[in-house]
Amino acid sequence: MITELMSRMKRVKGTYVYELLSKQNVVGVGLGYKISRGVSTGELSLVVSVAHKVTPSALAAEDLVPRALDGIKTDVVETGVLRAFELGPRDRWRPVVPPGVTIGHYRITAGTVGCLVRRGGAVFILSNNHVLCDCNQGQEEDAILQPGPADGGTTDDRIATLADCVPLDFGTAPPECSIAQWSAGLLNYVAGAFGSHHRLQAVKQTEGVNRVDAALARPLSPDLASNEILYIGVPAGVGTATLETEVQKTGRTTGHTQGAITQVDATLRIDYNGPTALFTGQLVAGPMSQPGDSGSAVLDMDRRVVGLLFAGSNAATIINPIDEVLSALSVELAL
Amino acid sequence: MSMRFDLEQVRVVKVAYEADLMRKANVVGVGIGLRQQGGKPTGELAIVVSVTRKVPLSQVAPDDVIPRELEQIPVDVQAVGELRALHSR
Repeated sequence: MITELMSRMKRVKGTYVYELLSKQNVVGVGLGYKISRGVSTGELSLVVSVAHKVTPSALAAEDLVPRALDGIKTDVVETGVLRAFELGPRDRWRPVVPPGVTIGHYRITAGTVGCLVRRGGAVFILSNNHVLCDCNQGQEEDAILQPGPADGGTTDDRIATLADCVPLDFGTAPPECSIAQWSAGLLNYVAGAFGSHHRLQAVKQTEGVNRVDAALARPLSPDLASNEILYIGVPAGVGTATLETEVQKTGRTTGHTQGAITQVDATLRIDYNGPTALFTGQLVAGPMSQPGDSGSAVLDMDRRVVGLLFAGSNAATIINPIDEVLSALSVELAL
Repeated sequence: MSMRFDLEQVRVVKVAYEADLMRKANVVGVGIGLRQQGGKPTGELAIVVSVTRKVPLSQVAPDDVIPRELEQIPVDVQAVGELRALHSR
């Protein structure tokens, strides 16, 4: 019975769908139970979605939706204007990439665009070393992809090139994730040129100390990157966070989240998928991030940038103070 | 809940002891924060020692025990789990 009725209704819908969609205000046609005063009547009907309901007298005769079509009742429902789903933080953004969305060096997974910074006349994308520079292993001019590789980014998605990087010091850790690898290679080349057969070891005896996990990418064109952070807006400037400062960020994985600073001047040992790096002078906030949020700019509630998010756990978020980041890279916030 | 010590006083003691604290089992961080009680900040400044997980005192080697205070400044032990760089997995 029902299937017979449904196939009849589908035929009627097929006959009238384009005629209905050509009427003013109509944005959709489907099949569903007729709703009367907010309650489903249980009676199948042709559901006509309109941007807004208007009185019949306000419509031209050809724009009226008939009460029934070939014996099938219609139901006019107001749905507002239907829009395509808006882009989110894990999507490919063009023509302009806002801070708060996915990005990554071509060999990594994905992190987040932090904000725009300026050195002289040049504008750069700020994020973490481990997002843009593959834990020290990136070379200048390497491709930076938006979306990051974990979000489907390929060589067709190159939006920037690696421009500068504050090396991470892993101390005695094995050098696969360390600048020591290629700087030792260079020194060996120099040693070879002078006839020495000694090979330099890329191993240090002391635990390294870091202040920031930061790097810069140069957009392929200056208008490809915006300084309007997704869901937050254009930063109001640079600020300083202290205990209990409320903060916010937009990141690739968790989107827009809020938290509060729970520790200042923290010394922390951070796991980089094996090697660990020691950091001093860090800010700690409550849980407001997940893997993929690395590189997010952290702002106070007056939209002043206070830090660069780079690490965390299910219970805590670790943030480089922004003044340390800007001075390590000799840049200023682009406003 | 008086703030018995200011930030600078706490900082001096924290700097003096942090290397020792960072060597203890399970410790991943030492910072300055507000002492928590029942998950809520008390308003009292403390040296916050972050550990991957809390362990019963009976299972901790004497060298790894974290003192309850250092030079009269309260030490608050907070479990944070593993702290990792947050690129996507």
